[in-house]
Amino acid sequence: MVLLENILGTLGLEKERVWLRWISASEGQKFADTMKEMTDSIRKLGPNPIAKHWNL
Amino acid sequence: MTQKVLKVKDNDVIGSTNDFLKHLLSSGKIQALLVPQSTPSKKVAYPVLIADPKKLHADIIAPILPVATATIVSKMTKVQSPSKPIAVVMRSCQICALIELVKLNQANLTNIIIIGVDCPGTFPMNVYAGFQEKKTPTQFILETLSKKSTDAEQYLRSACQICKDPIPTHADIVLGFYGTDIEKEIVVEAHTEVGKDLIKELALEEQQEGKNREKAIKELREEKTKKRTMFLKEKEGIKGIEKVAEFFDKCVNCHNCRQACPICYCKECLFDSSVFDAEAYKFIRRAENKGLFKLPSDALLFQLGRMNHMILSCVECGLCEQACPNNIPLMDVFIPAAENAQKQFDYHPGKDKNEKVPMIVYREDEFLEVGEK
Repeated sequence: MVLLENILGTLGLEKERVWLRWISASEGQKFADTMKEMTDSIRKLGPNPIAKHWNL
Repeated sequence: MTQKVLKVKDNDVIGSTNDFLKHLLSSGKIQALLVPQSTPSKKVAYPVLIADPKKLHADIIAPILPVATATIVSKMTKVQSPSKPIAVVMRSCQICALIELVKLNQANLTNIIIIGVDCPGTFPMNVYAGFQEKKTPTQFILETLSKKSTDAEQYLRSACQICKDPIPTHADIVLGFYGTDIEKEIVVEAHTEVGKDLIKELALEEQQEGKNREKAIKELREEKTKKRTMFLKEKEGIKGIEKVAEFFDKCVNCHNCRQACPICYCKECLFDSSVFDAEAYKFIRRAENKGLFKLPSDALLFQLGRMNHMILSCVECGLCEQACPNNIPLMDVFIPAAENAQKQFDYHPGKDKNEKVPMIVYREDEFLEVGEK
């Protein structure tokens, strides 16, 4: 994760775009909450800026 | 450590190092010697494995690193170690790479005796092979070592100019060219019992002034650190999607850099697999999504993927840059990335055999800031 965050940083991407969470199969509610939290947060960041580059 | 000196006969540095190596090979203590030796054309010096002392005409000063010596030693020892010792003559960066490969279970040091040489740096393969000056590249380096001129500096590969440490730290024997009058004597240090045993019967003389070498090494390291700090500052600018994309614009996805890298050892690289082959409609769908996209589309992904895989063990030998057919100055990006990543993990590739590669150790107290808050 730390290495990945470094690379994302070099590319100028927010490290908040990549999440790491540990959720057990029995933690259904936690899974749902985390997913919601994650999509809300990513939506706030907006679309991936790389998407508009055709040369990458 | 035992420190002795090898007297240089008639100012012939190469000849004297060859006499030393010949005696070593004839002693019966080693069965073969891996050492750089010029090809018949004299255009390049490759590592050669020599069994017959009469065939030895090595050039351990020749400023060229055509291939990763660490990879050669890996190929020679990974399947089965030699039954009797083999001595390998290596530069500092390659010893570091070899240690990393040992940690990654890709090489074995059983019956491998490392003879490290002080490294004044190497020229790019094409510069060395097409050298037009009256003097040979080796003569240029000898003049640097004897402090007669600094002309060699202009030809050095960028990786060598800002080398982290040109002095080998993990060798059984070190042949030292710094802190001595190289036209008169070469320093021979034995750092291990194996090394001591190997040089004990050779005609070497006692070292008179060991302090000179210590001082010279300190000065050399300081000078390199200064250049390195400047380099890191200069290259800070390669950040952000536009700049990174522009930097890799000339990458044709040939994967030569991966082939040349001593650390990239994967038998099958993901980027050589068929993982990026897909049905035509998937390509078309992608084109429709964006309007257009460049092909091959996985060049930058390959560069960043490779970096993610090897950067913690990167010894900054610069062979990736030398291998690039389009002369992308890869060190401009890889050295700052290595510096950053290795600092975060407080990891020093190739410096300690017992220091584990960060990716195979789990430490509960590490990077608590990553992930769930």
